[in-house]
Amino acid sequence: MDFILKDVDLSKGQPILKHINLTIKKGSIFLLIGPSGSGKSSLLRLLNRLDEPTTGQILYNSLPIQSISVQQLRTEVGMLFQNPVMIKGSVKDNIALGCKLAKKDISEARILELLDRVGLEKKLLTKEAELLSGGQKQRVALARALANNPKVLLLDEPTSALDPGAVLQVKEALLEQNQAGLTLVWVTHDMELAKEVATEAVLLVKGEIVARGTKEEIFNSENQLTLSFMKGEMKTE
Amino acid sequence: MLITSWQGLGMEKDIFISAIRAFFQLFFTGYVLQFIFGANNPYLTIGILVIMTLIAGKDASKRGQGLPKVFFIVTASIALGEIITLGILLIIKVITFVPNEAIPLSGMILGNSMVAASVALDRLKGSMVQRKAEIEALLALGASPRQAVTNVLKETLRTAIIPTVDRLKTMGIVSLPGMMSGLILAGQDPTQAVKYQIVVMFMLTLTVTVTTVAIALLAYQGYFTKYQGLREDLLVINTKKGHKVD
Repeated sequence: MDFILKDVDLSKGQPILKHINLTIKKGSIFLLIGPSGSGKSSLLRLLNRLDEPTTGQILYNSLPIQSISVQQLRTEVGMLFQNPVMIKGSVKDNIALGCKLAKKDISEARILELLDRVGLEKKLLTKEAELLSGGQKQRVALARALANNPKVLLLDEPTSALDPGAVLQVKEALLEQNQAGLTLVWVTHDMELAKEVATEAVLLVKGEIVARGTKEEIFNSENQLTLSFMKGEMKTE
Repeated sequence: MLITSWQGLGMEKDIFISAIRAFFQLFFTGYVLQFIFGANNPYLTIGILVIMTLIAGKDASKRGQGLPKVFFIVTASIALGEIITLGILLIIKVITFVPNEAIPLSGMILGNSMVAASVALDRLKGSMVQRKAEIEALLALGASPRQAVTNVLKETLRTAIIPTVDRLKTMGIVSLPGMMSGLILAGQDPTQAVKYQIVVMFMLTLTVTVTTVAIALLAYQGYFTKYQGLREDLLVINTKKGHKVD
């Protein structure tokens, strides 16, 4: 198991997550779905300690995450955000960033390999990263995260700000990494995408898990809340 | 006040209270200085400098409301700038430690470092808010908080130091600085007044730099939790009508 959450609560003045119990298996594509404001991103942020639960316990590889250094955890548990942030400099500078922060060397050959893994052309290596398209930036962000050799990748709606062509490219790059053993914890609103890629999923409503299971169990559920969400009838909180 | 009201800056009350305060403070200070200069006691002089530093620290720390230990950070940073600058002036014998030299010079030093401290705290918060996404992206890659705020610190230092550097550029052409004007008005030879002013300007630049660097390096840590996440409760800017901007 990569992650086990035991009765996790998160509160920031008001309750955001309530009694979250879940297990994320190694190599899975674990989907977090639910209406806006349901706590999906907040749950994701707990997994690399950008936020800390108010109560409850999170285990990573059977160890409480507090027992692992924050930097080590964040290196192993990478994250892609909805809007990728490029630092000033070339694509190469961006991909090498994680290694630079950890004061490790990264070879040009390794950078080229990462570029290839995310489906970007070599000629982009020296291009100013800020000048790339949204889809290219997201793939550079993916290559940057992969340079740290993560075991888990947290995806906070990484395709929601992209055009359909770019969505396909980023999705393919991510699925390829999953095939290579990378666990993906994926927040999305895109039900078609969820149906296509998920191995497991949970439906969050008002900070609580209201449905969980394999892709088939979730998407064929007779649960009223699940059906309501699938039909787009659930109000944004 | 009319201009700030017209522009909706919400600073009218601040300007009014500050003006009234300045009026009474200056009168009060005149009488106190007369007494201290007459006493010529080094311990009394040190006591006055400590009080001045504490007041400067209290005033400047208002810009960092909510930050942990902000009064201590600001006061220590201003004190550091004051000690280094005054120390150099004493060592190179530009001044001697007598109240009528140490106190007015400290007033200039503290006034400048207090303004720089306020600007630094203000810019630090503004930059943290603006660059929140960048900071979190870097943290998520395994950066330490110090690594994640590299650009924030650069921006903060630049913004706080630039006014002093700009003033240096036009010194004597656009403006005749206060100390020099005072000496000339008091009948001092202008070339002698200039020599004093040159030393003082360089010292003030040093003060502002030391204070700003100390504040930036100490205060940014307050924006992080003990597990190296961002304290979002501090990354909120209150506007005039109480709207919050994330």
